[in-house]
Amino acid sequence: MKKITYLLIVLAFNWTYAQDYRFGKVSKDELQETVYPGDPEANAAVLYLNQKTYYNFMQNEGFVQVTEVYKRIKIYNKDGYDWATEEIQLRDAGSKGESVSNLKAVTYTLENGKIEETKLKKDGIFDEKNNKYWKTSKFTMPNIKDGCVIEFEYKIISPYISIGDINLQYGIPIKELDMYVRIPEFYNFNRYVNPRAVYIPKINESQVNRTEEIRSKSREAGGVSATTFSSRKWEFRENKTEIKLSNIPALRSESFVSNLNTYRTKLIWEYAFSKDPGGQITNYASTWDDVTKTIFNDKDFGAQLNQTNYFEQDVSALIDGVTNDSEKIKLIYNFVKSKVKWNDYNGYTTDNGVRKAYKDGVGNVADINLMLTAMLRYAKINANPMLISTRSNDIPLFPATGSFNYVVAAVEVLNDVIILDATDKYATPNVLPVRAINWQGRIIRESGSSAWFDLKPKEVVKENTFLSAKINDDLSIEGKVRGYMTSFAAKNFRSKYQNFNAEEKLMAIEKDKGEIEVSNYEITDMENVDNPIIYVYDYNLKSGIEQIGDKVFLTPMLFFAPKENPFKQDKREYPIDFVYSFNDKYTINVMIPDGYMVESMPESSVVQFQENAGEFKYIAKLNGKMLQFLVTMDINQSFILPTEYTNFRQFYQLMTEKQTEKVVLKKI
Amino acid sequence: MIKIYRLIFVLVFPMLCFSQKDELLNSHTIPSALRENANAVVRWDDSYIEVKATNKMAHTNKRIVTILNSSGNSKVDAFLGYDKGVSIKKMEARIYNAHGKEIKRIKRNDFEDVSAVDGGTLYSDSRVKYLKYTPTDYPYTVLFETEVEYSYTAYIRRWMPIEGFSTSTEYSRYAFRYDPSNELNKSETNFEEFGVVNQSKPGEIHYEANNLKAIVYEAYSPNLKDITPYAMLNLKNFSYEGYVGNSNDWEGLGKWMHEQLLIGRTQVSEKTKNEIMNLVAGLDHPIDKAKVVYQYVQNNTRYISVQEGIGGIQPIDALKVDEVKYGDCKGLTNYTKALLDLVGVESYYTRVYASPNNLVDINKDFASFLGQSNHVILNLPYEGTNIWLECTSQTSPFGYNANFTDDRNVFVIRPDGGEIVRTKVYTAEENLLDTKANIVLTEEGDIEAKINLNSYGTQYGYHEGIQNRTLKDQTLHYKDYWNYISNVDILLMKYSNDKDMIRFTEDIELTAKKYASKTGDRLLLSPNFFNVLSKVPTRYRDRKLPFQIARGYHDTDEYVISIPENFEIEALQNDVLIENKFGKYSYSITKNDDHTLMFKRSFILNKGDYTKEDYENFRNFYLEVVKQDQSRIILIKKS
Repeated sequence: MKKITYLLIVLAFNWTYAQDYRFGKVSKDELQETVYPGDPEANAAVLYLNQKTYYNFMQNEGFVQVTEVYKRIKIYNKDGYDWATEEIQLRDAGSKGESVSNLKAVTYTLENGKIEETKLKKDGIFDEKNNKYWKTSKFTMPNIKDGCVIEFEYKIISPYISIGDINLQYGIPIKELDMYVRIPEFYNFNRYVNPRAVYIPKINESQVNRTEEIRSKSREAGGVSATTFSSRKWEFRENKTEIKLSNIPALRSESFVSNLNTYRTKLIWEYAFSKDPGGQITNYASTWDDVTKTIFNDKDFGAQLNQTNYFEQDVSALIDGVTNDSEKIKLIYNFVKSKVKWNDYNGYTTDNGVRKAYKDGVGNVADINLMLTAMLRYAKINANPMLISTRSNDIPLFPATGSFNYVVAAVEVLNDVIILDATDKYATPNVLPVRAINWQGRIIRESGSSAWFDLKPKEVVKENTFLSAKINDDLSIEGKVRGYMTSFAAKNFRSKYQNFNAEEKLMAIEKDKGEIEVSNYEITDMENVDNPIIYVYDYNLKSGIEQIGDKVFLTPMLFFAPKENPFKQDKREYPIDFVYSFNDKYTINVMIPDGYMVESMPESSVVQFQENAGEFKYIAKLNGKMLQFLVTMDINQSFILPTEYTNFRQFYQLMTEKQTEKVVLKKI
Repeated sequence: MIKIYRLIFVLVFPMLCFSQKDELLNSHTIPSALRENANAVVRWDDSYIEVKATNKMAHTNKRIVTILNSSGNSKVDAFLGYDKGVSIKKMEARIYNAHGKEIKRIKRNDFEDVSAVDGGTLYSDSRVKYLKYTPTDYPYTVLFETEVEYSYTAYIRRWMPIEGFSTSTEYSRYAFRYDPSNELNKSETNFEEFGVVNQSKPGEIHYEANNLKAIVYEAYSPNLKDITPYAMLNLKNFSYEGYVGNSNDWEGLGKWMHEQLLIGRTQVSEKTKNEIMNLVAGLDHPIDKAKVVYQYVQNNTRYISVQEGIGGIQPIDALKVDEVKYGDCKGLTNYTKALLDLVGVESYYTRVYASPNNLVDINKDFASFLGQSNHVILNLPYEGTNIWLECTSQTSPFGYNANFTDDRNVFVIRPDGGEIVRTKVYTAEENLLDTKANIVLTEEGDIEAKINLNSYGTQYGYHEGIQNRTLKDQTLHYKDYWNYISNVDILLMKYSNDKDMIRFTEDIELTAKKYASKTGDRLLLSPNFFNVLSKVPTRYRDRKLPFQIARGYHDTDEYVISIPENFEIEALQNDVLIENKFGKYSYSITKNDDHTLMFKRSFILNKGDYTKEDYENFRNFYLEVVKQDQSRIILIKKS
């Protein structure tokens, strides 16, 4: 008897704890929960997410892609109310569009200990046409209160064979996730997990049999007209990808992360090829050879590269008599930059076509850079297109055209590649707009071969500053500054100040430098991007010296000293990306005023981060009446991993402290 | 007579346009004075609006703009917003190169067509067609021509010939024709200073402006429309979405709106009614009841914006809000009013132009049904004062409207008529941040501090948000708030939000290594640990515009500093007191006993409108404060 009681208790116990995730079976426990156990700071949590993608067989249309979504979301507090609104993006290109059906949505609240249900009504659902290609179906749940639970489910029917991305991680935690994708053997997809994701899911793969009945109708010819209905069984296999996960952490943003989505756990699907029941294969992409072939056969890509007659005359004149390859490259590159402007659209295929872009002077990325490639080839330069996926896109993972959204021109020279992007006025060879510097690019050669190329800039960006300072009797400081910038630093400078008039430039240089007055400010080579930026100015600084009693304090780096260490977090989830390596150097001379002597000055020191990954040198010298400082900062590793962060932060901290150290002068 | 005049007008009008147009398309003809400080030059902007019937108004516009550089691109302004009350008859743009040669033509169907929903709105039926053009070279010129017919007359396009900062205008004309028997209400400001030619007469408005130079934005600038020519027109008899209005004073407009759009929309369900009645049972005081109702609305509803047809103007029925438990500002305000009606507390639907930074008034002397407000709040008159309820917030304290709808003229709608009323002004004294701290300093210059911050008024609004952030963000917030202190470790963060007092309290404990710098036997230390003013207003070599401080505030600080046993004071700072029309600053550091110092600081910034000549003095005031705030004292090791 005792045993039976025990057994009963165990059963009952299990019963209450085995959560029922069928639609409508929201429990009181779920409603009473006030915080998410694994993450008390979550404002809401997905209690259950069920997502299925499969292909229905329709007698007349063949396979139709269906995606079913079912979510149960708990809302803990007011900051979680945004999760009560669902927005479904749908493709909508003219006659061919995706649609939402079977929408059912209920809000559950606890009223005096009783579960109350409020259904979403039609007038809470809105359809919005965003532009030519997309529309959005939106709804927001009724009766949202702190602690409520909402459930909704819907189907997306799509005429396209296209799965895209399936997000497995949200901005709030997901307690249980259940998803599968079932694909008939006739369709073949490449599938990857975002490799930058911190949370890695476990994936199960299997094959299942499926049978469809095909009905047909035939009429006998001649004699008595008779219609025969027949049906036959059609057996085929399906590839099933299944994921069951519990307690997926929330994806939360962090400083110095430009696109949080980069780190989201998700499945990325690319349609590779189809094989009809007869065995006939149609390739979309699956190997790099296929990709190359697909791309070159694309009328908006390969064909664009082969057109030359529209520019022949102009380019011939441009490079007439020039024999040096690098000179030719420079001429053609600058020609395209000035001839065709970027219309802000990405793409590795042309929009209007190179010919029209050339004529109109405007085009998308492919219009411009394929034209550039074609011109370089015409000039007998070994140029090829290089496919890129921009930072805002994702990283290109697999041999597939869709993972790219950008193209540049690449010139292969001895052991190296020169990358050219003519969409940015201030870009130079190998100094691309930051949007295009993402992971690796794929060179697609004329011969049909292709290869990865690391896009991380190899050149160290230099910024040199010479600062002279003389302390006046009234303790103001006057002196000169001369600056020198190369590569990305020069590019950024040009982009930022291109439209500033003289007055605005002056104000910009004076900004955040304290009580300063700048004069004789001159910038050399604002427009000639082949040269570095050099600037000079005179300054008079009133707020550079602090006087306490008979002592005078000053920071030798003056307004160039950092105000704070930008890295304040104790630890990080995601890497820090500086994009490029850099070398900053300050050469400083401070003249000690008459009647003063040095009481103390900062000592020379060297700080390193992981041996050569970063080095900071501070050299201080007193040379008669002249204080001399040489401060250099080398960041040779532009990508800092979370595991390296603590050391890196410490390195920055020491660097910041050293640069703000003071010289103390005493009245003689 | 009228007929002949009309004929002449129609004939002359287009001819004038065409004779001038060609040379205006050439950027070389821009007068040099108009190029100065300009990113774009409006060469020609010509609007002709004609009211054909109460529910029919045609607007023809021709516009030529030269864009001088990429910062001027936004001034192309070739777009048309539309909904079902707007029919676009003509929309065409042509682009010309610097020499006036046509390089592109954009026809009506080539404009981009997108939904005009902003981020905060779930759905809206307004859409916009706009020109997306990538300039191939600068300067370039855009000719934009439109003809639009509106099925309403409730909003008449405003005239603002200086369209923005860094934009000059060569010629701008605005003509408006209406039936003179329909009374017209006008507001015309800053005409004389800019030489606007006003040739208006009954039945016809006619403004012209020439050669208006570009104005550059300067810090603390007032709103551009308050200092440059600006005209608003409104007809007494107007229509909107089938509603016909007949008033052009605020009183009449209020009465009309109440009767047409508000009345009969305040029913709620029996269930809600019972709940509310139970909640207020036993309460007598109207404010107590109102607080209960406000709390109920905050607990049970949320803000969702849906704008469709007249729904852009009329609140959704309280019964509907009651059912779905969400609404926009109109719906939630009306719902709160409905519940207050139930418990017998008087309240009124109020239109306002809400803005967190600048204060924007509804014009007291210019009544218009549309175009002067963007938000709705609830007015609760109580014993001669007014309480303002923000009904879209689930967290705001009762009657708190700082930093959003404070200190401005708003339109209160009562059954017997509307009225312009000023909302609560948060004075500098009320906008208090009081920081108290106990600090222990070590021989190494490290500090350990217990800090207590109490914020009120506008500053309450700046501070209270921190409580809802994640722990990580809170920690980072304090490291940022005190970013001039390096090596901070936050040990404790505790909050208390007193919504009755409208006071937010933060208790923070932290340590910071090497706060004081050590040189030999001395420690250099800034006694203003936790409230350093560091940003000085931008310097202008030649300030052009007057300036405005929209809201004043008051900071008080009191720190008790314990110094190490074996140290003594070598040098302290003298007391400082600065007082002028911009505010008042005081700083003092005194010795309590051998081991404790007392630091006191107070800073008051007054709200106000000041002339450009005052700017340098204002900046100097800040400079002195910034310098004093960073000054240090010296402690020396006892020998």
